[in-house]
This record gives sequence, C-alpha cells and structure tokens, in this order.
Amino acid sequence: MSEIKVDTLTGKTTANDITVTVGATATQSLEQGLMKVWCAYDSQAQVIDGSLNASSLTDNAQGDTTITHTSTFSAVSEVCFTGISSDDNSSNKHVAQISFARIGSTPFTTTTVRVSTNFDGQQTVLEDMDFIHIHGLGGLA
Amino acid sequence: MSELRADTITASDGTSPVTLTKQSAAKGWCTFDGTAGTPTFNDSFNGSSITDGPSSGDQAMNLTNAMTNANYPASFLGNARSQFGTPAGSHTSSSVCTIRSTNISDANTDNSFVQIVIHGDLA
Repeated sequence: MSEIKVDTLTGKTTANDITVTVGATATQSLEQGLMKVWCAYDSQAQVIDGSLNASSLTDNAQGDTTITHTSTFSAVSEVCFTGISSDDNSSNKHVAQISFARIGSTPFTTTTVRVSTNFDGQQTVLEDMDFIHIHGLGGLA
Repeated sequence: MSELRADTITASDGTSPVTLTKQSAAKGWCTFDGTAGTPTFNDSFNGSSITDGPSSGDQAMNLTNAMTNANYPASFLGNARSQFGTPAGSHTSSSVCTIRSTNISDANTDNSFVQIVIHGDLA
C-alpha cells in the first residue's frame, strides 16, 4: 500500500485531463466523474443548507426555484442533473416530485439550473419543499 | 501547497483501482431526449448507446464499461413533473441501466429531458 499526499492534482498534458484506473482494467476520466455542483436547500425558506459550487437561490414562484452556480459549465448540452425532494408539511404529504422547469427549450444556462417541485398527484399546483437535494455533472468552463 | 501533475493515475500495483480519500467519482451519466424517434445522447460519460422501448417511457443507457454487478445506485430526473423508476424493479444488468418514465398521471410517457447518473464500482 502506497499513499501520495498532495493538495492539487493537475493533468500534465491538459490541465483537466487525468485518467484514473477505476475497475479491474477500465479507466475513466477523473474530471468527468467528479460532481461539479451539489446543493441541499429548502425552497420554502429559500435557504441553502449545504452546497458545492452553488452560490444562491432565486424564488421564481411557488415550487419553482433557480440555483446559480459559482463556476460555470462549458455548455448547456454538457450538464446532467438529478435530484430528490421531500416535505414535512402539516398534511404529511411526504411524497414529492421533482423535475426541471424549462426556460424555453432547456432548464439550464451555463450558470443556472431551474427546478420545480410538487406533491405526488398534484397535477396543477407547484409546491415548495423543505428538502431538495440536487447534484450536477458535466464539464466546467 | 503541493501539486502533482500526471496524465494517468493507477494503484501502485499498476492495475488496481485508485482510492480517492473522501471522494467517489460518478461512473456514468447521460442526458437525452426520450421523445426522439431514435434517442441519442446530448452528452454522456461511459455511455455507448440508448435502447428505446419496448414500451413508451422505457429507455436504456448502455454502458461502455460495465459495473461489477446490477446493484449499482442510479438516479434520474426529467421535466414536466415526471417520475422515474425501473421497469423490473432493478437494473437490467451490469451494463444496461433501464428507466421507465411516467407523467403526472402515472402513465408511461417518454420524457424530453432525461438525465441519468450512475455511481458504484466498475468491473
């Protein structure tokens, strides 16, 4: 067992291009596999509980929030977000749905992702949630 | 402050996976339009192709490098108040991640903005 202690890893040829052995023989790009954004937030209170590369929330409407990133993605086509949400309201409607709120043809800009939430079965009304967790992969600029 | 510059990092035996302390990289992700006649990746990592069907709302992300088994964690998201799951309650195999998307009325429906992220260990 050997261990290298270092504060920064940089590609020798290209700064963000480091290949890592990740399986018995498989190799992958380290940069492509690392999370670029994650954000745990409360859309009712509009508070970020914890985050990586998420700088602020914008309350567009009830159940409709935009998360702004500090470091930008290289293109809107190179962004992949997933997430989960839940709520603990007085009606105990814990089952929540989370999806993208589109801005024209995409829910993304290179610096934002727009997310909507609603209770399961609620076809017409968006609702704010206590717990929304999203994370995003892709290529940063 | 120290900095290590390298193009490839491998465990000291030259072949084994590298351990990243307090870090776990995603092993695959993709984004595609599931409503397209023949869905193709908008962008992907470790994705080789998409299989469409057999039912509406069903698509599969085929992996270039397989996972160690079919029990890997995967998460999904789409637009239009959609819901996602797996058709059989599990992944199809270590190299095929199959999703089923439904609309707000729980009807199987292709989604135009599918996002898949896969974690776990590669074979």
